[in-house]
Amino acid sequence: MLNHDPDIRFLDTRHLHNWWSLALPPGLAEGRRYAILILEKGKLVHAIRSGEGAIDVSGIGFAGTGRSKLLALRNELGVEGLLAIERDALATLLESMEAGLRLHEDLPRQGIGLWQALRKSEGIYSQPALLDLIPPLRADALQKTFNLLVPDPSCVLVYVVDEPNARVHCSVLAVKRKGSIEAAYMHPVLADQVSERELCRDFRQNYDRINRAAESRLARPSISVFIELGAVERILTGPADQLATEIKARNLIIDPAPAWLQGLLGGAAVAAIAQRNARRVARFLPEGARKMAGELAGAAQDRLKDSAAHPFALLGFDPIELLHTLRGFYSAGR
Amino acid sequence: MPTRFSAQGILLEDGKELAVHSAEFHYWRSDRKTWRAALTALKNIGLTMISSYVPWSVHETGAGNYDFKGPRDLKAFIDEVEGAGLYLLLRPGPHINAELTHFGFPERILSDSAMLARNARGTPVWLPAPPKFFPVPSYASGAFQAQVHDWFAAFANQVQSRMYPDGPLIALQVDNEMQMFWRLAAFDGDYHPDALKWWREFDDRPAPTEYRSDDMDRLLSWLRFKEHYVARSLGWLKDALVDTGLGDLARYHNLPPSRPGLCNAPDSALAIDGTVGMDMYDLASGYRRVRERALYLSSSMELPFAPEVGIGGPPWFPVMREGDQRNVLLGALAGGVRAFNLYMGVGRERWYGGLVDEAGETSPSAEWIAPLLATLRRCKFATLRRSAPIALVVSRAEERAALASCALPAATPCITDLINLGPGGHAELALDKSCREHARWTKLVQQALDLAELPYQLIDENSLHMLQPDTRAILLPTLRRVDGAVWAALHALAASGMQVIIGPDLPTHDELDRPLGSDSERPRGAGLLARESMADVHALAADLLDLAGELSDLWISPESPDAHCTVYVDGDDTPRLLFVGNQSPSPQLVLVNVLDTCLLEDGITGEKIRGEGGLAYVTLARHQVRVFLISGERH
Repeated sequence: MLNHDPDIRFLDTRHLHNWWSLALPPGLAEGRRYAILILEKGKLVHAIRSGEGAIDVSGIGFAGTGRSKLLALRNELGVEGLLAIERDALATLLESMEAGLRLHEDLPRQGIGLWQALRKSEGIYSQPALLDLIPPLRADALQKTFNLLVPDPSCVLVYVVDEPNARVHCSVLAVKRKGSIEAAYMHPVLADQVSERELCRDFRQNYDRINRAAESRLARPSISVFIELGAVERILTGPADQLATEIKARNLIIDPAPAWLQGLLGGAAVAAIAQRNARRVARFLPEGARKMAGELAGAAQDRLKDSAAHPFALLGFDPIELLHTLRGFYSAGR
Repeated sequence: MPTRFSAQGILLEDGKELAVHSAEFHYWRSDRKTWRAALTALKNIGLTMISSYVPWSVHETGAGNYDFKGPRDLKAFIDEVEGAGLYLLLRPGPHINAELTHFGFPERILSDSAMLARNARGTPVWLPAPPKFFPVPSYASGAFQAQVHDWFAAFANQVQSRMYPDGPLIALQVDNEMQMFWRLAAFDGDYHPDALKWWREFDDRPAPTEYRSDDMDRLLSWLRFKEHYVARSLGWLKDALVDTGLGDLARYHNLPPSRPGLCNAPDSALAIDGTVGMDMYDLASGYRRVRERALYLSSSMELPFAPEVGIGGPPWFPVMREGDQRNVLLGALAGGVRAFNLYMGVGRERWYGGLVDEAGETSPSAEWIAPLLATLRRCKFATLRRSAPIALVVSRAEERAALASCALPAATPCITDLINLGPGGHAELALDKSCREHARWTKLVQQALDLAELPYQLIDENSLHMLQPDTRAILLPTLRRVDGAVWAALHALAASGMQVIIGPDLPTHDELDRPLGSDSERPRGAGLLARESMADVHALAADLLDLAGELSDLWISPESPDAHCTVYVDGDDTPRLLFVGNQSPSPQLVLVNVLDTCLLEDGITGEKIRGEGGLAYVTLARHQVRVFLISGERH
C-alpha cells in the first residue's frame, strides 16, 4: 500500500501545519488533563495526574476496571481521560507487537499488525473507551479494498481552499502505482502551472485546471477533492447529512469521483433526506410503527453491507460508521 | 592533529581557529549540476562550513560493492565545497537517520538476526520510524562491527586524500544521535549475546530483566552499563575510523534532543577523544527545554555545539515554523551554544524548509540567518563568556533509579518526558520515591534560580573540573542516593572553600544503592535545602540570591519575572552581547536594567534601543528570544 521508499517532495510548511491543525480534534492540541492508574493484579499501586505527577493512591477510590467504574473515577479525579493499565501490560504488548513485525512489510501492514496487537491486548483500559474504536483490520483486506477503490495508476488529490483569503489552506497529491502509494506531494509540485491564487479565484470553476496539471505531470486523477475550509468544520461538527448539504452547495466538489464513491455520496444524500423526512413523519406515527420502520431501515443497511455491492464489504467493518464516531471528538471539543 | 575542536570552534594546524557556522547539504539528493549554485548561496549567507551525511545504504549496491558516481560522487562534492571556499564536516554513520528508509543501514544488515539488538524477552528491538519500521542493530555485535569496518574503509578511500590541509575536510562525526535508538526503558536492550559479554566484563552477575526493590545494586549497575555501552560503542567506531587512516581529523558526536539527566556527554566525549554536542529541534514553546540543553552543553563541554539546529523539518512530526526555529537558535545561543550546524541548509525530499533550494534561491529563513551570522562575527561571539556564580549539578544516580523502578517497565522517557506527567517528568512513574523527589527538587532549584535571575551553570557530574573559576556555590539536590565520586568531589570543593548546598536529605547510599557508611558525613560547611522550600519557591530564590553574594544589578529585568536576560562579556569584562528571552506564552514588555549611555542594537533587525532612566524597553512576542549588540556601555 505504501512504497518502501516513497518520493515525498514539494512540501509546503504552511500546508503541513494546517493539515496537523485540521487532523487534531480541538482541545487535544492544547492538552487535556488525564490520569494514569497502574495496577498490579488488579490492585492500584501507582497513580499519576497530568501536570501534578504521582498522587497518593490511598486517596483514590479505585473499584475496578468496568466501564462505569472508570467513568465515575474519571469524574472523581477531575480529568478528561483515564488510563488504567497493569504493570506488565505495556511490556507484554510491546513484545506482541515486536514479535509480529516484519522488515519486508510496508508501513500500513506493519501498522495494522501493531493495531491488532493493541486490540487483542489485555490489562489496558481507558475512559473514554478508545480501544473499542479499533476495528478488526486485516492487511490483505485493506490492500484489496485499496486496489478496488483507487485505480492504478492514478493520483488522488485533496485541496482545502481558504476562500476568504484566496489561498490553498492545505493540499496533498498522492500517486498510486503497482498497488502502492509511490509519491506524495503538495501543491508546489503544480505551482508553476496553476498558482494558488488562480485556483482560489474561483475554485468551483478552476479546479479542473489542477486536475489537468496533475494528469500531465503525475498521473490521471481518479479522486479529486476540493473543499472549502468552512465546509470541513461544518461536516465534522454538523448534523449527519451535512456532507450532502455541502455537496449540493458546491462547497465540496469531488470530481472525478469513481462510481463507488458517487454511489456512496448519492446514497448518503438520499439517506439524509429520508432521515429528515422520516423524523418529520415519525412524529405522527404511533411508537410501534416507528420502531418497525427503524428496524426495516437497519436491516436494509445490513444487507447492503453484507452484499458484495458495498465498497467496503471486504474490510469487515464500516469506515463510515467509524468516521461518524470520530466526528464526536471534533464536536465535543467545540 | 591537523584539526581538533577547541573552546571556540575548530583549530587548524596552522593556528587558525574557525567558528563553526555550518549548514547541512545532502549531495546525493540534489542534481549534481546544482551543487555549485547552492554552495555559493550558502557562502553568501555567511556560512563557513558545510556538513553532510555519507549514507551507507545509498552508496552500497551489494555487500562489499559501492557506488560513488553521478549524484553519489563524493569526491566531486568535496571538490565543489573547496571550490566554493567552504570547509567540510562529514558524517559517515553508520546510523544516519536523514529520514532515509532504515536510517541509512542497508537492508541486508537489518535482515541478519546475528546483528540485531535484543530486548529482555529476546526479540529484536524495533524503531517505529517512518517511512517503515525496522529492527535496530546491536553495536556490540561482532558481525555488525565487521560490516561497519568495511563501510568505513570504502568511505575512507574516497576522502583520505581530501583531509585538511590537503582538502576542505576538517571534522568527522562519529555515528549519530546514539541513545539506544530512544528505547531507554531499563530492559529494552541490549541483550544480544555480544552485548551480554560486554556486560559480564562490566559486572559478573546475570543481567537483570525486571525490577525488584531488593535488587537495586544490580539494577543500577545495569543502568550504568547502558551508559558504558554507548561510550564503548562510540569508542570502537572511533577506532575504526582511525584504523582506516582518518584519525587525524577532529571528531564529534551529536546527542539527540534530550533532557540532560539522560545523557552522559562527558564519557561519550572521552570515548571518541573529541567533543559531544546536542541537536536542537523544538517549537518556540519549548523555550525552557532548549535553554536547559544549551546551559548543560555550555557548562559541561569545552565547545558547546549543536550539530543540528532545525531549519525546516520532517513531515511526520508537528510542524516547526520559521518563527519557532528562529527562537530555538537564539535560545540555544543565549544558553551558551557557540557552534552550530543548520539542518537543512539546502532543501530536499522528505523535508520542508531549508535555507536555500537546490537552485540556490534563498528562503525567508536566510533573511534572518545572514544578519545573525554577521552579528556573531562582529562581536566574536565564540570568544565571549557568561559569568555564572552558581552551579547546579546534573547527576545520574537517582535518574538511573527512576529508570530501574519505573512502574511501567517498557515506558521510555523519550516519550514520557513529553506528555506532562508532572514536575519530575519520567521520574513521576518511579516506584522508588527518592528518585521522584530528586527530579522534583532539581526542577524546583532551577525555577528558583530563574526567579532570582541568577545566572547558573548546569554542569554534568562528570564535568566538575570545568566549573568556572569564579563559582561561588555548587548545588546538588540529594535524597537517598549520590554518586560516590561526585560526593568525594563535593567534599573536596567544600574543603577548598566553595559553598556546597545539598539536600533536603543527607544521602545515605551511593549510585549503586550501597550504604555510604562512614562516607555519609556532610561536606564541610554544606547547607541543606529546606523541605519547606518545595512549597515556597520565592523563599528559595531569596536564599539563593543571598548565596550568590554581591552581583551587578545591570542586565537583569526584576520587573519581568518571565524574562531571562543573558549578557556575554569579552576578555576585558566589557558587555558585548545581550539575549533577552520570553518564557511565557504572552507578549512581554521587558524592562532591562542598563546604564543611560547604553545602546542596544538588535542583531537581526537592526532596531536600536537606548537606555532611558536606567532602563531599556524590549518588546517580546510569546516565547521570543532577541539578541542585541551592546555599545556605549561601560561596566
